[in-house]
Amino acid sequence: MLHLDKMSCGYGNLTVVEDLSFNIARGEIFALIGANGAGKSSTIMSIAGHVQVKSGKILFKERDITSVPVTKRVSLGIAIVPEGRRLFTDMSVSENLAMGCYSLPKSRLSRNRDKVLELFPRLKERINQQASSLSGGEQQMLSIGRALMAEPELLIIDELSLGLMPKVIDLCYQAITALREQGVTILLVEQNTTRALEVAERICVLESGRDVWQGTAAKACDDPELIKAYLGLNQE
Amino acid sequence: MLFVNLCMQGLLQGGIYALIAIGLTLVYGLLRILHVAHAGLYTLGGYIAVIVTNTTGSFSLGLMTSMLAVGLVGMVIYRLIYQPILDKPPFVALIASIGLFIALEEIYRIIFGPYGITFAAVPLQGAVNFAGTYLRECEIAAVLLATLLIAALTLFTKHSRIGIAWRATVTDPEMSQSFGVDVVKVRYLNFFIGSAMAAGAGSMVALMNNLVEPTMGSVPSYKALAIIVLGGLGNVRGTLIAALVIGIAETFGTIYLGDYLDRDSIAFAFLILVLMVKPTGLFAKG
Ligand SMILES: Nc1ncnc2c1ncn2[C@@H]1O[C@H](COP(=O)(O)OP(=O)(O)O)[C@@H](O)[C@H]1O
Ligand SMILES: [Mg+2]
Repeated sequence: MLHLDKMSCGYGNLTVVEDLSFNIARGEIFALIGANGAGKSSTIMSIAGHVQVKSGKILFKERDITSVPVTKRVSLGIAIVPEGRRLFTDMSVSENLAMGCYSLPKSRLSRNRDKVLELFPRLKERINQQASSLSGGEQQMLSIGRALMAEPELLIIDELSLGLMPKVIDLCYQAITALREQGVTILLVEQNTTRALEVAERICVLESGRDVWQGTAAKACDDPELIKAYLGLNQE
Repeated sequence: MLFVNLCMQGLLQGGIYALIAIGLTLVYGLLRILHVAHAGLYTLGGYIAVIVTNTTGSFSLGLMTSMLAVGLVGMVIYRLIYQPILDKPPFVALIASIGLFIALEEIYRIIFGPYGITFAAVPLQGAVNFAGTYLRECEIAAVLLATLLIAALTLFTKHSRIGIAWRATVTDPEMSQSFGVDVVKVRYLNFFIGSAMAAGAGSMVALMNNLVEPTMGSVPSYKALAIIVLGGLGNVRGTLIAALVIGIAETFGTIYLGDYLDRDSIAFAFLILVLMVKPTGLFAKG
Protein backbone atom coordinates (compact mmCIF):
# COMPACT_ATOMS: atom_id res chain seq x y z
CA MET A 1 0.00 0.00 0.00
CA LEU A 2 2.80 2.37 0.95
CA HIS A 3 6.15 1.85 -0.66
CA LEU A 4 9.27 3.86 0.08
CA ASP A 5 11.87 3.42 -2.61
CA LYS A 6 15.38 4.51 -1.59
CA MET A 7 13.99 7.68 -0.13
CA SER A 8 16.27 10.33 1.34
CA CYS A 9 14.89 13.38 3.07
CA GLY A 10 16.07 16.33 5.10
CA TYR A 11 16.03 20.02 5.85
CA GLY A 12 17.81 22.55 3.64
CA ASN A 13 21.23 21.11 2.84
CA LEU A 14 20.99 18.60 5.62
CA THR A 15 20.02 15.01 4.80
CA VAL A 16 18.73 13.20 7.87
CA VAL A 17 17.34 9.98 6.37
CA GLU A 18 19.20 8.15 3.63
CA ASP A 19 18.10 5.52 1.11
CA LEU A 20 15.26 4.22 3.19
CA SER A 21 13.09 1.53 1.59
CA PHE A 22 10.17 -0.35 3.02
CA ASN A 23 6.85 -1.69 1.93
CA ILE A 24 3.71 -1.65 4.03
CA ALA A 25 0.95 -4.09 3.10
CA ARG A 26 -2.71 -3.14 3.25
CA GLY A 27 -4.24 -3.79 6.65
CA GLU A 28 -1.06 -4.31 8.64
CA ILE A 29 0.51 -2.38 11.48
CA PHE A 30 4.05 -1.44 10.58
CA ALA A 31 6.25 0.02 13.30
CA LEU A 32 9.18 2.34 12.81
CA ILE A 33 11.54 2.05 15.76
CA GLY A 34 14.69 3.85 16.74
CA ALA A 35 16.32 6.11 19.29
CA ASN A 36 15.71 9.83 19.57
CA GLY A 37 16.96 11.66 16.52
CA ALA A 38 17.11 8.53 14.36
CA GLY A 39 14.90 10.15 11.72
CA LYS A 40 11.52 8.55 12.41
CA SER A 41 9.55 11.78 12.52
CA SER A 42 11.36 13.11 9.47
CA THR A 43 10.46 9.96 7.56
CA ILE A 44 6.78 10.16 8.29
CA MET A 45 6.62 13.91 7.83
CA SER A 46 8.00 13.40 4.34
CA ILE A 47 5.28 10.82 3.70
CA ALA A 48 2.80 13.45 4.90
CA GLY A 49 4.47 15.98 2.60
CA HIS A 50 5.99 18.34 5.13
CA VAL A 51 9.64 17.35 4.89
CA GLN A 52 11.48 17.66 1.63
CA VAL A 53 12.30 14.43 -0.22
CA LYS A 54 15.81 14.68 -1.67
CA SER A 55 15.91 11.52 -3.73
CA GLY A 56 14.02 8.29 -4.16
CA LYS A 57 10.28 7.85 -4.35
CA ILE A 58 7.20 7.47 -2.20
CA LEU A 59 4.49 5.33 -3.73
CA PHE A 60 0.99 5.14 -2.27
CA LYS A 61 -1.46 2.64 -3.75
CA GLU A 62 0.97 2.18 -6.68
CA ARG A 63 0.96 5.88 -7.41
CA ASP A 64 4.06 8.07 -7.14
CA ILE A 65 3.11 10.76 -4.63
CA THR A 66 6.60 12.18 -4.05
CA SER A 67 5.64 15.56 -5.49
CA VAL A 68 1.94 15.63 -4.62
CA PRO A 69 1.29 18.80 -2.56
CA VAL A 70 0.62 18.40 1.18
CA THR A 71 -3.00 19.54 0.97
CA LYS A 72 -3.86 16.87 -1.60
CA ARG A 73 -2.49 13.88 0.30
CA VAL A 74 -5.35 13.68 2.76
CA SER A 75 -7.87 13.10 -0.03
CA LEU A 76 -5.68 10.27 -1.32
CA GLY A 77 -6.21 8.55 2.02
CA ILE A 78 -3.27 9.53 4.23
CA ALA A 79 -3.89 11.07 7.64
CA ILE A 80 -1.42 11.88 10.36
CA VAL A 81 -1.31 11.94 14.15
CA PRO A 82 1.80 14.05 14.60
CA GLU A 83 4.37 14.07 17.37
CA GLY A 84 3.11 16.30 20.19
CA ARG A 85 -0.54 15.92 18.96
CA ARG A 86 -0.54 19.42 17.44
CA LEU A 87 -4.23 19.98 18.02
CA PHE A 88 -5.93 23.22 17.13
CA THR A 89 -5.66 24.27 20.75
CA ASP A 90 -7.92 27.33 20.62
CA MET A 91 -10.78 25.35 19.20
CA SER A 92 -13.27 22.97 20.76
CA VAL A 93 -13.10 19.18 20.52
CA SER A 94 -15.99 19.29 18.10
CA GLU A 95 -14.28 21.88 15.89
CA ASN A 96 -11.05 19.88 15.88
CA LEU A 97 -12.98 16.86 14.65
CA ALA A 98 -14.67 19.00 12.02
CA MET A 99 -11.25 20.09 10.78
CA GLY A 100 -10.29 16.44 10.33
CA CYS A 101 -13.20 16.14 7.93
CA TYR A 102 -12.33 19.29 5.98
CA SER A 103 -11.36 17.45 2.80
CA LEU A 104 -14.62 15.48 2.66
CA PRO A 105 -18.16 16.58 1.78
CA LYS A 106 -20.03 18.15 4.70
CA SER A 107 -22.53 15.30 4.72
CA ARG A 108 -19.90 12.91 6.12
CA LEU A 109 -19.27 15.00 9.22
CA SER A 110 -21.90 13.64 11.58
CA ARG A 111 -21.45 10.01 10.58
CA ASN A 112 -17.68 10.13 11.03
CA ARG A 113 -18.04 12.00 14.26
CA ASP A 114 -20.33 9.34 15.68
CA LYS A 115 -17.77 6.69 14.76
CA VAL A 116 -14.93 8.55 16.46
CA LEU A 117 -16.99 9.19 19.59
CA GLU A 118 -17.90 5.53 19.71
CA LEU A 119 -14.20 4.64 19.63
CA PHE A 120 -13.34 7.30 22.25
CA PRO A 121 -16.40 7.87 24.47
CA ARG A 122 -14.28 10.13 26.69
CA LEU A 123 -14.32 12.76 23.95
CA LYS A 124 -18.11 12.82 23.95
CA GLU A 125 -18.16 14.23 27.47
CA ARG A 126 -15.69 16.92 26.42
CA ILE A 127 -17.17 17.73 23.05
CA ASN A 128 -17.56 21.48 23.64
CA GLN A 129 -14.42 21.90 25.70
CA GLN A 130 -11.40 23.69 24.32
CA ALA A 131 -8.75 21.23 23.11
CA SER A 132 -6.05 22.82 25.26
CA SER A 133 -8.05 22.01 28.41
CA LEU A 134 -7.93 18.25 27.81
CA SER A 135 -5.57 15.89 29.61
CA GLY A 136 -2.62 14.43 27.69
CA GLY A 137 -4.43 11.17 27.04
CA GLU A 138 -7.60 12.90 25.86
CA GLN A 139 -5.52 15.08 23.58
CA GLN A 140 -3.95 12.00 22.02
CA MET A 141 -7.41 10.50 21.52
CA LEU A 142 -8.57 13.71 19.92
CA SER A 143 -5.54 13.78 17.66
CA ILE A 144 -6.27 10.21 16.54
CA GLY A 145 -9.96 11.06 16.24
CA ARG A 146 -9.21 14.11 14.12
CA ALA A 147 -7.15 11.98 11.74
CA LEU A 148 -9.89 9.32 11.56
CA MET A 149 -12.42 11.98 10.57
CA ALA A 150 -10.61 12.09 7.21
CA GLU A 151 -11.47 8.40 6.60
CA PRO A 152 -7.82 7.45 6.03
CA GLU A 153 -6.68 4.23 4.44
CA LEU A 154 -3.24 4.83 5.91
CA LEU A 155 -3.04 6.23 9.41
CA ILE A 156 0.38 7.52 10.45
CA ILE A 157 0.95 7.88 14.19
CA ASP A 158 4.06 9.47 15.69
CA GLU A 159 4.95 8.58 19.30
CA LEU A 160 1.60 7.12 20.26
CA SER A 161 2.47 6.44 23.89
CA LEU A 162 4.88 9.27 24.65
CA GLY A 163 4.05 11.00 27.92
CA LEU A 164 0.91 8.99 28.61
CA MET A 165 -0.05 6.92 31.63
CA PRO A 166 -0.03 3.12 31.16
CA LYS A 167 -3.82 2.94 31.43
CA VAL A 168 -4.29 5.50 28.68
CA ILE A 169 -1.66 3.76 26.55
CA ASP A 170 -3.76 0.58 26.85
CA LEU A 171 -6.79 2.51 25.62
CA CYS A 172 -4.92 3.92 22.65
CA TYR A 173 -3.53 0.53 21.69
CA GLN A 174 -6.98 -1.03 21.93
CA ALA A 175 -8.19 1.65 19.54
CA ILE A 176 -5.31 0.90 17.15
CA THR A 177 -6.09 -2.81 17.05
CA ALA A 178 -9.78 -2.06 16.55
CA LEU A 179 -8.87 0.14 13.61
CA ARG A 180 -6.76 -2.61 12.05
CA GLU A 181 -9.78 -4.88 12.31
CA GLN A 182 -11.69 -2.29 10.31
CA GLY A 183 -9.06 -2.49 7.59
CA VAL A 184 -7.05 0.67 8.30
CA THR A 185 -3.35 0.35 7.56
CA ILE A 186 -1.20 1.82 10.31
CA LEU A 187 2.33 3.18 10.29
CA LEU A 188 3.35 3.51 13.89
CA VAL A 189 6.36 5.34 15.29
CA GLU A 190 7.13 4.27 18.79
CA GLN A 191 9.97 4.56 21.27
CA ASN A 192 8.23 2.11 23.53
CA THR A 193 9.46 -0.99 21.73
CA THR A 194 7.68 -3.50 23.94
CA ARG A 195 4.33 -2.02 23.01
CA ALA A 196 5.23 -1.73 19.36
CA LEU A 197 6.38 -5.35 19.14
CA GLU A 198 3.11 -6.47 20.72
CA VAL A 199 0.86 -5.01 18.02
CA ALA A 200 2.98 -4.62 14.91
CA GLU A 201 3.20 -7.29 12.21
CA ARG A 202 6.49 -5.96 10.96
CA ILE A 203 9.06 -3.45 12.13
CA CYS A 204 11.83 -1.37 10.71
CA VAL A 205 14.65 -0.21 12.99
CA LEU A 206 16.29 3.11 12.15
CA GLU A 207 19.61 4.35 13.38
CA SER A 208 21.06 7.73 12.38
CA GLY A 209 18.84 7.93 9.35
CA ARG A 210 19.58 4.44 8.00
CA ASP A 211 17.58 1.29 8.40
CA VAL A 212 19.54 -1.34 10.26
CA TRP A 213 16.94 -4.09 10.52
CA GLN A 214 13.62 -5.01 8.93
CA GLY A 215 11.42 -8.01 9.46
CA THR A 216 8.47 -9.44 11.31
CA ALA A 217 7.92 -8.59 14.94
CA ALA A 218 8.06 -12.28 15.83
CA LYS A 219 11.47 -12.58 14.26
CA ALA A 220 12.67 -9.46 16.05
CA CYS A 221 11.68 -10.93 19.40
CA ASP A 222 13.76 -14.03 18.63
CA ASP A 223 16.86 -12.08 17.77
CA PRO A 224 18.79 -11.55 21.02
CA GLU A 225 21.43 -9.43 19.34
CA LEU A 226 18.90 -7.07 17.86
CA ILE A 227 17.12 -6.78 21.18
CA LYS A 228 20.35 -6.06 22.95
CA ALA A 229 21.54 -3.52 20.42
CA TYR A 230 18.39 -1.58 19.58
CA LEU A 231 15.24 -2.76 21.21
CA GLY A 232 16.25 -3.18 24.83
CA LEU A 233 16.89 0.50 25.39
CA ASN A 234 13.48 1.96 25.78
CA GLN A 235 11.42 -0.63 27.56
CA GLU A 236 8.52 0.35 29.76
CA MET B 1 -25.70 63.50 31.13
CA LEU B 2 -22.09 64.27 30.47
CA PHE B 3 -21.24 60.79 31.70
CA VAL B 4 -23.65 59.05 29.29
CA ASN B 5 -22.50 61.26 26.48
CA LEU B 6 -18.85 60.50 27.13
CA CYS B 7 -19.60 56.77 27.27
CA MET B 8 -21.36 56.95 23.92
CA GLN B 9 -18.53 58.93 22.36
CA GLY B 10 -16.04 56.48 23.83
CA LEU B 11 -17.86 53.46 22.43
CA LEU B 12 -18.11 55.15 19.07
CA GLN B 13 -14.40 55.90 19.01
CA GLY B 14 -13.63 52.40 20.30
CA GLY B 15 -15.80 50.83 17.59
CA ILE B 16 -13.87 52.69 14.90
CA TYR B 17 -10.56 51.66 16.43
CA ALA B 18 -11.76 48.07 16.61
CA LEU B 19 -12.66 48.01 12.92
CA ILE B 20 -9.14 49.16 12.07
CA ALA B 21 -7.23 47.13 14.65
CA ILE B 22 -8.96 43.80 13.99
CA GLY B 23 -7.57 43.67 10.45
CA LEU B 24 -4.12 44.38 11.84
CA THR B 25 -4.32 41.69 14.49
CA LEU B 26 -5.66 39.19 11.94
CA VAL B 27 -2.63 39.72 9.71
CA TYR B 28 -0.31 39.44 12.67
CA GLY B 29 -1.99 36.24 13.87
CA LEU B 30 -1.64 34.55 10.51
CA LEU B 31 1.67 35.84 9.18
CA ARG B 32 3.47 37.44 12.16
CA ILE B 33 3.77 40.64 10.17
CA LEU B 34 3.07 44.12 11.55
CA HIS B 35 1.01 45.39 8.65
CA VAL B 36 1.53 49.13 9.18
CA ALA B 37 0.21 49.97 5.70
CA HIS B 38 -3.19 48.77 6.88
CA ALA B 39 -4.00 52.34 8.01
CA GLY B 40 -3.33 53.45 4.43
CA LEU B 41 -6.22 51.24 3.36
CA TYR B 42 -8.42 52.88 5.97
CA THR B 43 -7.68 56.21 4.26
CA LEU B 44 -8.31 54.72 0.83
CA GLY B 45 -11.66 53.50 2.15
CA GLY B 46 -12.54 57.08 3.05
CA TYR B 47 -11.57 58.39 -0.40
CA ILE B 48 -13.56 55.78 -2.28
CA ALA B 49 -16.64 56.30 -0.10
CA VAL B 50 -16.60 60.08 -0.70
CA ILE B 51 -15.98 59.80 -4.42
CA VAL B 52 -18.63 57.13 -5.06
CA THR B 53 -21.15 58.95 -2.86
CA ASN B 54 -20.53 62.21 -4.69
CA THR B 55 -20.88 60.51 -8.07
CA THR B 56 -23.94 58.41 -7.35
CA GLY B 57 -25.63 60.32 -4.53
CA SER B 58 -25.84 57.18 -2.38
CA PHE B 59 -23.70 56.77 0.72
CA SER B 60 -24.65 53.11 1.17
CA LEU B 61 -23.38 52.43 -2.31
CA GLY B 62 -20.24 54.42 -1.49
CA LEU B 63 -19.69 52.40 1.67
CA MET B 64 -20.18 49.03 -0.03
CA THR B 65 -18.01 49.90 -3.01
CA SER B 66 -15.32 51.14 -0.67
CA MET B 67 -15.30 47.97 1.43
CA LEU B 68 -15.29 45.70 -1.59
CA ALA B 69 -12.62 47.60 -3.51
CA VAL B 70 -10.33 48.04 -0.51
CA GLY B 71 -10.76 44.36 0.36
CA LEU B 72 -9.45 43.54 -3.10
CA VAL B 73 -6.58 46.03 -2.74
CA GLY B 74 -5.66 44.27 0.52
CA MET B 75 -5.42 40.97 -1.37
CA VAL B 76 -3.24 42.59 -4.03
CA ILE B 77 -0.94 43.99 -1.33
CA TYR B 78 -0.57 40.52 0.14
CA ARG B 79 0.24 39.05 -3.27
CA LEU B 80 2.66 41.74 -4.42
CA ILE B 81 4.31 42.92 -1.21
CA TYR B 82 4.13 40.25 1.48
CA GLN B 83 4.01 36.91 -0.29
CA PRO B 84 7.41 37.31 -1.96
CA ILE B 85 9.13 38.04 1.37
CA LEU B 86 7.36 35.62 3.70
CA ASP B 87 10.48 33.54 4.26
CA LYS B 88 12.56 36.59 5.18
CA PRO B 89 12.97 37.74 8.81
CA PRO B 90 9.95 39.70 10.11
CA PHE B 91 11.64 43.10 10.03
CA VAL B 92 11.87 42.87 6.22
CA ALA B 93 8.09 42.82 5.97
CA LEU B 94 7.87 45.59 8.57
CA ILE B 95 10.16 47.83 6.51
CA ALA B 96 8.23 47.01 3.33
CA SER B 97 5.00 47.83 5.12
CA ILE B 98 6.20 51.18 6.45
CA GLY B 99 7.51 52.02 2.99
CA LEU B 100 4.20 51.11 1.44
CA PHE B 101 2.31 53.22 3.99
CA ILE B 102 4.38 56.32 3.19
CA ALA B 103 4.03 55.63 -0.54
CA LEU B 104 0.24 55.32 -0.20
CA GLU B 105 0.01 58.70 1.56
CA GLU B 106 2.05 60.30 -1.21
CA ILE B 107 -0.04 58.63 -3.90
CA TYR B 108 -3.22 60.01 -2.30
CA ARG B 109 -1.61 63.44 -2.18
CA ILE B 110 -0.74 63.29 -5.87
CA ILE B 111 -4.09 61.90 -7.02
CA PHE B 112 -6.58 63.59 -4.70
CA GLY B 113 -4.64 66.74 -3.77
CA PRO B 114 -3.00 67.76 -0.48
CA TYR B 115 -6.01 69.44 1.17
CA GLY B 116 -8.40 66.56 1.25
CA ILE B 117 -11.86 66.04 -0.24
CA THR B 118 -15.36 66.41 1.20
CA PHE B 119 -18.87 65.19 0.50
CA ALA B 120 -20.87 67.32 -1.92
CA ALA B 121 -23.92 66.91 0.33
CA VAL B 122 -23.14 65.28 3.68
CA PRO B 123 -25.69 62.59 4.52
CA LEU B 124 -26.82 61.40 7.99
CA GLN B 125 -26.12 64.61 9.93
CA GLY B 126 -29.45 64.95 11.82
CA ALA B 127 -29.30 64.86 15.62
CA VAL B 128 -31.04 62.07 17.50
CA ASN B 129 -31.97 62.20 21.16
CA PHE B 130 -30.38 59.16 22.75
CA ALA B 131 -30.85 58.57 26.49
CA GLY B 132 -30.90 62.27 27.15
CA THR B 133 -27.90 63.19 25.02
CA TYR B 134 -27.71 64.06 21.37
CA LEU B 135 -25.93 61.89 18.85
CA ARG B 136 -25.65 62.46 15.14
CA GLU B 137 -27.21 59.91 12.79
CA CYS B 138 -23.82 59.20 11.26
CA GLU B 139 -22.41 58.38 14.70
CA ILE B 140 -25.21 55.90 15.36
CA ALA B 141 -24.65 54.43 11.90
CA ALA B 142 -20.94 54.02 12.70
CA VAL B 143 -21.68 52.16 15.94
CA LEU B 144 -24.21 49.96 14.12
CA LEU B 145 -21.78 49.19 11.32
CA ALA B 146 -18.99 48.28 13.75
CA THR B 147 -21.31 46.02 15.74
CA LEU B 148 -22.68 44.39 12.62
CA LEU B 149 -19.28 43.72 11.04
CA ILE B 150 -17.74 42.37 14.22
CA ALA B 151 -20.77 40.14 14.89
CA ALA B 152 -20.65 38.87 11.31
CA LEU B 153 -16.95 38.11 11.64
CA THR B 154 -17.54 36.21 14.88
CA LEU B 155 -20.33 34.12 13.37
CA PHE B 156 -18.25 33.46 10.29
CA THR B 157 -15.22 32.21 12.20
CA LYS B 158 -17.31 30.12 14.58
CA HIS B 159 -19.78 28.50 12.25
CA SER B 160 -18.58 28.38 8.66
CA ARG B 161 -16.25 25.66 7.41
CA ILE B 162 -13.77 28.09 5.94
CA GLY B 163 -13.98 30.26 9.06
CA ILE B 164 -13.02 27.31 11.26
CA ALA B 165 -10.25 26.41 8.81
CA TRP B 166 -9.01 29.98 9.10
CA ARG B 167 -8.71 29.72 12.89
CA ALA B 168 -7.03 26.33 12.54
CA THR B 169 -4.50 27.83 10.13
CA VAL B 170 -3.67 30.60 12.60
CA THR B 171 -2.91 27.95 15.27
CA ASP B 172 -1.00 25.47 13.12
CA PRO B 173 -0.66 26.13 9.38
CA GLU B 174 1.17 22.86 8.74
CA MET B 175 -1.46 20.67 10.35
CA SER B 176 -4.28 22.55 8.72
CA GLN B 177 -2.60 21.87 5.37
CA SER B 178 -2.39 18.22 6.32
CA PHE B 179 -6.17 18.17 6.55
CA GLY B 180 -6.59 19.80 3.17
CA VAL B 181 -6.74 23.53 3.90
CA ASP B 182 -5.29 25.74 1.19
CA VAL B 183 -3.44 28.26 3.38
CA VAL B 184 -2.88 30.70 0.54
CA LYS B 185 -6.65 31.01 0.11
CA VAL B 186 -6.94 31.60 3.84
CA ARG B 187 -4.40 34.43 3.62
CA TYR B 188 -6.31 36.11 0.79
CA LEU B 189 -9.52 35.81 2.77
CA ASN B 190 -7.78 37.27 5.81
CA PHE B 191 -6.53 40.30 3.87
CA PHE B 192 -9.89 40.80 2.19
CA ILE B 193 -11.88 40.80 5.41
CA GLY B 194 -9.39 42.87 7.44
CA SER B 195 -9.01 45.49 4.70
CA ALA B 196 -12.76 45.72 4.06
CA MET B 197 -13.35 46.37 7.76
CA ALA B 198 -10.75 49.15 7.76
CA ALA B 199 -12.45 50.65 4.71
CA GLY B 200 -15.75 50.56 6.60
CA ALA B 201 -14.10 52.53 9.41
CA GLY B 202 -12.53 54.98 6.94
CA SER B 203 -15.91 55.58 5.27
CA MET B 204 -17.65 56.31 8.57
CA VAL B 205 -14.88 58.62 9.77
CA ALA B 206 -15.04 60.44 6.43
CA LEU B 207 -18.74 60.90 7.05
CA MET B 208 -18.38 62.11 10.64
CA ASN B 209 -15.59 64.59 9.85
CA ASN B 210 -16.75 65.36 6.31
CA LEU B 211 -13.11 65.24 5.32
CA VAL B 212 -10.65 62.75 3.88
CA GLU B 213 -7.04 63.83 3.64
CA PRO B 214 -3.86 61.96 2.67
CA THR B 215 -2.58 61.70 6.24
CA MET B 216 -5.88 60.59 7.78
CA GLY B 217 -4.32 57.21 8.59
CA SER B 218 -1.19 58.46 10.41
CA VAL B 219 -2.57 58.64 13.92
CA PRO B 220 -4.72 55.49 13.58
CA SER B 221 -1.72 53.57 12.25
CA TYR B 222 0.26 53.81 15.45
CA LYS B 223 -2.75 53.81 17.72
CA ALA B 224 -3.92 50.54 16.18
CA LEU B 225 -0.48 49.10 16.91
CA ALA B 226 -0.85 50.09 20.56
CA ILE B 227 -4.29 48.50 20.64
CA ILE B 228 -3.24 45.15 19.21
CA VAL B 229 -0.30 44.98 21.61
CA LEU B 230 -2.69 45.67 24.49
CA GLY B 231 -5.10 43.06 23.15
CA GLY B 232 -2.36 40.41 23.00
CA LEU B 233 -1.00 40.31 19.44
CA GLY B 234 -3.16 38.11 17.21
CA ASN B 235 -6.01 37.86 19.72
CA VAL B 236 -9.19 39.19 18.09
CA ARG B 237 -11.38 39.33 21.19
CA GLY B 238 -8.59 41.00 23.17
CA THR B 239 -8.17 43.54 20.38
CA LEU B 240 -11.88 44.33 20.42
CA ILE B 241 -11.88 44.91 24.17
CA ALA B 242 -8.64 46.93 24.04
CA ALA B 243 -10.10 49.12 21.29
CA LEU B 244 -13.19 49.88 23.37
CA VAL B 245 -11.12 50.50 26.49
CA ILE B 246 -8.84 52.92 24.63
CA GLY B 247 -11.83 54.64 23.02
CA ILE B 248 -13.44 55.23 26.40
CA ALA B 249 -10.17 56.12 28.14
CA GLU B 250 -9.50 58.74 25.47
CA THR B 251 -12.92 60.35 25.66
CA PHE B 252 -12.87 60.59 29.43
CA GLY B 253 -9.19 61.48 29.46
CA THR B 254 -9.72 64.40 27.12
CA ILE B 255 -12.16 65.91 29.61
CA TYR B 256 -10.38 65.08 32.84
CA LEU B 257 -6.72 64.98 31.81
CA GLY B 258 -6.93 67.26 28.78
CA ASP B 259 -4.85 69.94 30.48
CA TYR B 260 -1.89 67.63 30.98
CA LEU B 261 -2.07 65.09 28.19
CA ASP B 262 -2.77 65.37 24.50
CA ARG B 263 -5.71 63.20 23.41
CA ASP B 264 -3.58 61.05 21.14
CA SER B 265 -1.01 60.39 23.85
CA ILE B 266 -3.57 58.87 26.23
CA ALA B 267 -3.57 55.53 24.39
CA PHE B 268 0.19 55.35 24.79
CA ALA B 269 0.23 56.43 28.41
CA PHE B 270 -2.26 53.63 28.99
CA LEU B 271 -0.17 51.19 26.96
CA ILE B 272 2.97 52.00 28.96
CA LEU B 273 1.05 51.60 32.20
CA VAL B 274 -0.36 48.22 31.21
CA LEU B 275 2.94 46.92 29.87
CA MET B 276 4.66 47.85 33.13
CA VAL B 277 2.18 45.72 35.04
CA LYS B 278 1.59 42.98 32.46
CA PRO B 279 4.26 42.87 29.73
CA THR B 280 2.25 40.49 27.52
CA GLY B 281 -0.67 42.89 27.14
CA LEU B 282 -4.10 42.62 28.68
CA PHE B 283 -5.22 39.43 26.98
CA ALA B 284 -2.18 37.46 25.89
CA LYS B 285 -2.88 33.80 25.27
CA GLY B 286 -1.73 31.09 27.66
N1 LIG C 1 13.21 21.19 11.39
C1 LIG C 1 14.43 20.62 11.40
N2 LIG C 1 15.48 21.26 10.87
C2 LIG C 1 16.71 20.71 10.87
N3 LIG C 1 16.99 19.50 11.36
C3 LIG C 1 15.98 18.80 11.91
C4 LIG C 1 14.66 19.31 11.96
N4 LIG C 1 13.86 18.40 12.57
C5 LIG C 1 14.67 17.36 12.88
N5 LIG C 1 15.94 17.60 12.50
C6 LIG C 1 17.07 16.67 12.65
O1 LIG C 1 16.80 15.49 11.96
C7 LIG C 1 17.26 14.38 12.68
C8 LIG C 1 16.14 13.37 12.85
O2 LIG C 1 15.15 13.92 13.68
P1 LIG C 1 13.71 13.27 13.85
O3 LIG C 1 13.23 12.87 12.51
O4 LIG C 1 12.89 14.19 14.63
O5 LIG C 1 14.06 11.98 14.71
P2 LIG C 1 13.14 11.07 15.61
O6 LIG C 1 11.72 11.36 15.31
O7 LIG C 1 13.55 9.68 15.26
O8 LIG C 1 13.48 11.40 17.03
C9 LIG C 1 17.82 14.89 14.01
O9 LIG C 1 19.21 14.92 13.90
C10 LIG C 1 17.25 16.26 14.11
O10 LIG C 1 18.14 17.12 14.77
MG1 LIG D 1 10.22 12.04 16.55
